[in-house]
Amino acid sequence: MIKMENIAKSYDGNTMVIRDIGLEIKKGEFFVLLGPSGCGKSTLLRMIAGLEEITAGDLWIDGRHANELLPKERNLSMVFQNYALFPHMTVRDNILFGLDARKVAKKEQDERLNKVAEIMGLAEYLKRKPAQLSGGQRQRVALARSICSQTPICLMDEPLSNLDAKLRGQMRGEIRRIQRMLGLTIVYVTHDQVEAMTMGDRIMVLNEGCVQQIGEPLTVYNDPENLQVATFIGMPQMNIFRARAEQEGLRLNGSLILRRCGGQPCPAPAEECIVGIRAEHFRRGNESTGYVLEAKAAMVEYTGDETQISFENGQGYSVVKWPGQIPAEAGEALTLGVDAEHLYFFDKDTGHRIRQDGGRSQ
Amino acid sequence: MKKYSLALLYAVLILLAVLMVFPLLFTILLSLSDNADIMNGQYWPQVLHFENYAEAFTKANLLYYMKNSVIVAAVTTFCQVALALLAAYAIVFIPFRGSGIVFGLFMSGMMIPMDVLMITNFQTINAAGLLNTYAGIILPCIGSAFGIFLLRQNMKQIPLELKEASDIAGVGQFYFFRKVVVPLSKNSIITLAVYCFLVSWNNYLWPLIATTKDEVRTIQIGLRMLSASDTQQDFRLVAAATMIVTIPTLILMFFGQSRLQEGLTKGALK
Repeated sequence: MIKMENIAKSYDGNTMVIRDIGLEIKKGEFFVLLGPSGCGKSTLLRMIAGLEEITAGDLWIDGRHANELLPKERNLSMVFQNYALFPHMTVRDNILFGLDARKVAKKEQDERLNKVAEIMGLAEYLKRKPAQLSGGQRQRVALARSICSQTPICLMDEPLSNLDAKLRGQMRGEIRRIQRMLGLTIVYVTHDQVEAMTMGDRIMVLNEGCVQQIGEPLTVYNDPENLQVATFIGMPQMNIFRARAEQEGLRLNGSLILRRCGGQPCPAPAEECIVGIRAEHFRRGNESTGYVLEAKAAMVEYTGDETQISFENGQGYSVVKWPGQIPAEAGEALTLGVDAEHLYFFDKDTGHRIRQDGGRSQ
Repeated sequence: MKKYSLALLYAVLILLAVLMVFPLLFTILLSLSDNADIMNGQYWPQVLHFENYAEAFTKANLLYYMKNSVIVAAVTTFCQVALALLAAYAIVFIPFRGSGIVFGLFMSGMMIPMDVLMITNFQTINAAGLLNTYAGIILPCIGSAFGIFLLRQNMKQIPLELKEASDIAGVGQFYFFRKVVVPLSKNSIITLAVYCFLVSWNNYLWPLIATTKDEVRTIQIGLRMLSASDTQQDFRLVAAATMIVTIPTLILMFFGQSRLQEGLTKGALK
């Protein structure tokens, strides 16, 4: 549906804000562009929309070479972060905006309007102006306009970032449901990893204008290609240590030691590297078959359904996350186990993932 | 301390208000007086002579001049607003190379007073054979750098996403202009129109220069001729006629004041 080859963007001709992006988005796919702010994800989306020029590379939309196509010729719709509703028009006119220009008959317009208003729960607000709606309703109007245009591709630029947490959760499900129902191809920009994980069929993690990884949400979570991806995805953030291989195990940040149990081989692929451990991969006590870490609890936090304990690691704090309400107190000694397959190794200079034994860490 | 400074402030404001309003009140008094009283230095009318107004109307042929003024002011206003709208739209919403320079050129036009161009304008109008026509009076006044500036400031506050959404939806420039930009610039458009109408209505020098015959002359010239044509100054008639001429101004100010204020200060705050 959308294909990119070596896409690049530069505003001043010197610095590249987007470099060498190649990807293919399939029909009916929910594709998420994920990255920290300023990573170029919105720029990339706007290039697909035709709102930004493409400096280099090729873009195909629905089989057509689209670099030079005008936005209206690309047959897509877009939902903006601030919704881009016309403040002086009613909800009805906002939803139907542009259909006149596309020569859609009045009767057809009414049919589409009624159908969309019903799906989106906007039927009773059609005569109101955007200023009289709540944030969630405005967001629905923006979505309704996009659906009403009946274009096969819908681009969304952080559409949920102006909503409060509860509404955001609700709208996540709603957008996904509508996307499946109508078979839309959605390209969705967000910096929120929860949105990316829960909504996307596939995620592209972008940083500083470069693709870090493309894959299904769980693949990206379980098998990050590099340190950027590993630390960007996951809450709390993956614990990162500088590791040095020593006789009895791995010295972390020059202070803690990750000890081998039994006859385990030395885990480090190099004498010095970076090791990452997710908070939920620590086990309590000596249950582990792999490695053990002795630490002292610094702070214990209960969210109700889970317990987070942080401990000092020599250069700051690391976090352990366990389901349930685990009795613990600050200052208490912790024995933490880690299985071998839950150690992620990264090159200390490049941050690239170092895989051992051909993908043992899958 | 605060109380005193407030009192001082009000004293200054009241003084300024009196200074501002005095000519108007004095004119009203004169317009209702007897000419003999005025000559004797008796400015407070003993009897109110409302018939002065009727006399001014007939004697000075005010209605005739007023018709000319209405035509000139209305057409000037319409053209000025329309041109300024289109120019401002192009500068704000149509990206083109050198749009900043074009806008700068427009703005530099604001710094050249109309009076400096009076002679060249006369030559142009004369060469075009437009002396003593409405077109001759109107044409040099329809470009307004101030209008472009005012509307541009307003349009810049319209989120660019609205234009982008329109581009994606596939509507044309003119549709977006008509359906989105004009309604959202309504206040500024009204402000500009009121302002432009008033300036045009009060314009004296150019309509005088561009005309030699009475047929197309505007009311301000008519007013002037009233006081010049009589050997004996008839102050009560001049005052009455002046009052009549200011009426449209007062009406516009009365209804447009809040909008005028809003429109002129709106862009300034951001």
